Amino acid sequence: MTAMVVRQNRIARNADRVGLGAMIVASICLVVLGTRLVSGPMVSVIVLTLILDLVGVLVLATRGGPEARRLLAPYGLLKPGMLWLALFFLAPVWSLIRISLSTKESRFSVNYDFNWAFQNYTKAFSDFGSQFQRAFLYAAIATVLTIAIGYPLAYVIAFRGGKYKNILLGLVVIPFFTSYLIRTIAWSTILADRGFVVRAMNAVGLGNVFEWLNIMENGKLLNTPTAVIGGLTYNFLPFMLLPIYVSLEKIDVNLVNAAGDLYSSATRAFRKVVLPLSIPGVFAGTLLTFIPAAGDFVNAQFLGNPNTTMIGNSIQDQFLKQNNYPVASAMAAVLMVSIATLVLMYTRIFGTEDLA
Amino acid sequence: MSTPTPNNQMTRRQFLARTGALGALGLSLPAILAACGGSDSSSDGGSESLFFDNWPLYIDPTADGLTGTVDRFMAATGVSMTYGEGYNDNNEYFAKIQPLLGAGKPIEADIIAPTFWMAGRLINLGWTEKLPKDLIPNFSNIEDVYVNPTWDPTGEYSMPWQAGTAGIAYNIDVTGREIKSVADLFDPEFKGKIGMLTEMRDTIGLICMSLGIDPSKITSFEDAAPAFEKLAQAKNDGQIRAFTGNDYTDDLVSGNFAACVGWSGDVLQLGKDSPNVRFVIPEEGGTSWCDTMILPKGVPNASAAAKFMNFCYDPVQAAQITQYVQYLSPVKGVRDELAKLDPELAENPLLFPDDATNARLRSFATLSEDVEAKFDEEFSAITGA
Amino acid sequence: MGELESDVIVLDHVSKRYGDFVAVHDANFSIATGEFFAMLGPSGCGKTTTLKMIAGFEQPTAGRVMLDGIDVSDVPPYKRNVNTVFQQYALFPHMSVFDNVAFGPRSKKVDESKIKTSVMEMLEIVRLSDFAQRKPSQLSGGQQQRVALARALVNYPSALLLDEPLAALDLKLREAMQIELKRIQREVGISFIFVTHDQGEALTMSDRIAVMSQGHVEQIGSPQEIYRSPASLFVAGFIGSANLLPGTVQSHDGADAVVALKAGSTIRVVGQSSAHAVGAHVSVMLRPERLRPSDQADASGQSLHGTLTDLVFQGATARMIVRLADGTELTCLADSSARMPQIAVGANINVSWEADCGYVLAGWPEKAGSNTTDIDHIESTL
Repeated sequence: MTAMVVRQNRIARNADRVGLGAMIVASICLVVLGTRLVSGPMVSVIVLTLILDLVGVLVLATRGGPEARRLLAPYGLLKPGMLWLALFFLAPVWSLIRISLSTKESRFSVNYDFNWAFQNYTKAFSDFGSQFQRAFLYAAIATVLTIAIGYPLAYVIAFRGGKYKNILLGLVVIPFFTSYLIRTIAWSTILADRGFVVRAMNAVGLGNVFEWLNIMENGKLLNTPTAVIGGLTYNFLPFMLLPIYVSLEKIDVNLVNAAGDLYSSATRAFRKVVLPLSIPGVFAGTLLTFIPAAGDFVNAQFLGNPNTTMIGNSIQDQFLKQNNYPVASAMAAVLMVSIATLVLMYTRIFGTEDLA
Repeated sequence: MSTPTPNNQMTRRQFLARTGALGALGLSLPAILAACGGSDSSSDGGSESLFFDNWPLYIDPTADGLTGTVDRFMAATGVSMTYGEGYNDNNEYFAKIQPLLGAGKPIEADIIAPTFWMAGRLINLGWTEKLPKDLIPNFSNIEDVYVNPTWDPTGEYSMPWQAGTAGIAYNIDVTGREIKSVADLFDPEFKGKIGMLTEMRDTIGLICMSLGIDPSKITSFEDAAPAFEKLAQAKNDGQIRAFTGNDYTDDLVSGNFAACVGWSGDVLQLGKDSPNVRFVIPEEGGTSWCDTMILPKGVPNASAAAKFMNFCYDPVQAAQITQYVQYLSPVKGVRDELAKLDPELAENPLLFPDDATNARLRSFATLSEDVEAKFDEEFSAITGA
Repeated sequence: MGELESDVIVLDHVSKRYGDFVAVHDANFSIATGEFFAMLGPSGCGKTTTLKMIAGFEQPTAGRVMLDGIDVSDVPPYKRNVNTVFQQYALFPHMSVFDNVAFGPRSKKVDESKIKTSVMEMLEIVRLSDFAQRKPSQLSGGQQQRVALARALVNYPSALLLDEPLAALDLKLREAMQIELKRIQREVGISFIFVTHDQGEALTMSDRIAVMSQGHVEQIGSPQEIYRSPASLFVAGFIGSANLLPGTVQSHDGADAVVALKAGSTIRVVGQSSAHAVGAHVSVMLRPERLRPSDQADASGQSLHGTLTDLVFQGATARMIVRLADGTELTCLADSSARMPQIAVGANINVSWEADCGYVLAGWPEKAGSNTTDIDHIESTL
């Protein structure tokens, strides 16, 4: 009896380690189940392990006393998120990478042979290099444009908005209550050849100038690179504006006063104080804009032409129309890795220590 | 679904244009529709039952005092029928049934309506059942052009549901002149104002015919290679504004497209409101397509399905379907029956092409698995996706 | 103070209006070189607005602000040779202490090598040399305060403006910083103009104090003058504690005034006759520490009789609340170590004072008797 109590106490004292272990085991179980790594009776074994694992932690939490519960609590709070990630992020990514290195038995087969088929990656690069380039180029231009438009707008709202701040922010956000798709399709109506934008520009003679600047092609705005980049810029503007606004709004007006007091002109005060303090917002906005923009396919589909397709369109086509899961997976994996690399480089260069 | 006049209806393909966009966002519309479609199932104990999964808005419904084909069929035969509208897109539907049929398991539907080339693919894969023709005496009413078609050379596996023609649709306000030939689509005058269909067989088929290649006789990629080259050149030159699905109609009416590859049925409908939109079967000839009825492998209610097919191939019944959907009927004698219902429609040359026109129509050959893969890949490389 | 009594800052009949609201009315005073000058008053009295007009963040609606003899009323802050220490310091959070201090000289495009010396010198003065590379968030409140000082002083401005510089610090630190500020000011010899609502702070540190109320400057003078001879009932009540006893001037006896208190007694106030006519309504101010409580009756005539209602031991002193017959309450502050009369709460008590301790002010107070400065009370009523 006493020996058992001692043993129980020891487990209770180490409840944090038990909790961590149980979480890792449960995550692995879910990844294994989610990727269908095992089949037949092994599935039951894994399910049983998962149940025992979770029940075990519950028993420990109820029987181990307050100390054990205190130590287990963090893992209890982490667990839903971890298990969610395991099932809906780790498992799919694992499957994606596996399929990207597989070949199909035949064109319409649903079985994939995992055989380190790196030719899928070769094909992803060789056949879709231009789509990758375009995706990153368009996303980069759109990101720069969202900063160029979003920053001054956020600045005015934050520093000059006064009591209208919330109304102005609301006006920025309200269009985004309608669906992404409908907004994008609406742009195709606005930019149409006989739409008022093109007509107005031709009326004031801007058409030729834009044609010369390659902003327009053959008298059209719709179905040009301009329209695709414009659509991306429009659709991702709030993702840039809101973080910048938050970072600007936090800046104490007295800091600007102090800079003025210390002999800085308004320009220098902005450059040395406001801008550096709002950089975390620009940084966050850049990530929130660039990453989804690089993978976007909606804008290129509705506002682009056959020469402006982005990698998102290609991936969609390979998955849904060509039924070519291996190559599509390889492309998705390449996209994921390239974006991760770019973000990492960006973080290194611009730093995140002030983000905290 | 409630208005009786067909002209006010959304056509099946217009419906696609809109829902296809949702599909692009990853919403599984077929699944949603399938779920809706199955709801009016009512099995009278012991009697036969049937589930037809068809394209949306592709049959006359019971509405405004008219009894729809499904209800007429049920009344006439006592079969309990479920009619679904879950067939939205050939490739999407294929992706949905592939895991089951590929594994030798039956799917829920007894009849599905793949477009002819998809029917050909399913037949080639051995995923279809032979039709019990002894239960379908009306099979003899099939139009001659659909006897032993390319996608079903023995005629044992499929019957056409409705058919249509692909040709050139154009907006005369923009072109300023009548369009007669596929060559006009490549006229630099219309640079950046030309639309092509993502439906590969219609786009490539038309170009083939303009180059003197018979699309019904294609067996290898090399046969059609000149058409692909011509299309790729036009795309690189910026001649082509967009590859579209059925949403070409919007671009056509708004004037974004001067001309494009289009479908007869749509323009028939558009012409009512937009007389500047016209349709022509090019001098070099046009392509014809049809959607079919097939029995998926392992179908549980083959005899009920056969009864329905037989029912629909009765010209009296078929005429009522045609009056509603406004596509070409594959059933002989429909024109005479339609004349009793709607004399004007019965004289429409786009619904009832004359023999000379029919002679200029070709349907795309059924491609072997490898060749089709090559075609799809090359076409996809051009459409830029 | 320098040998030349030149004025660094002159406010020449300066007023500031926001619409109908008069924030500052006709402020007219000057501040000398090297002076430690306080603007004291409750919130909303206009002291901060006055400071902002000197700094240049606000423009006067009337009058002129002169800096070193030049009218700077329309000169923007960054062209004025004054610097401000902001209430919450307004240190640049993204810069190190060094860069914060170097900000001003860099704005002025001073040579970087000179900047390094002068910044380090100034950090030496505020005793933060070892913290040059820290970020402000890594410093304590007092250290941040000193960075703010260094950042302003490194520019050797004509005057340093401090907006409630100690308000953000806790009591202990505040007392230490008062001494520190005074030391630094002596060391650099620059005029300090600081704004505070804390009369203790103002009395401790300043050479001169301007007491402000509702946009008006009530009195300007040394701490002693203001404490001993307040110009108004407001000043008397705001600076320290005061017992204000309303009464009427009964007669003049040479230089002395004889005042009949409403509380009953008639008392003599030394040297106060000239300012107040016979029959005028006046108040006699008696500072609590000048009152002598006793259980014995006093024969001098400068005494009042009442009941002890409260006795609070405060260490060096004891605070007594005495209620007079008419209900007026007086506060006495007695040396707790000296022969404390053994009076129990509730017992009769006699309160007396020397005749030269009283000070006569025009008018009657809103509240007779004890007026203790209660900042929280003042703040909440404004």
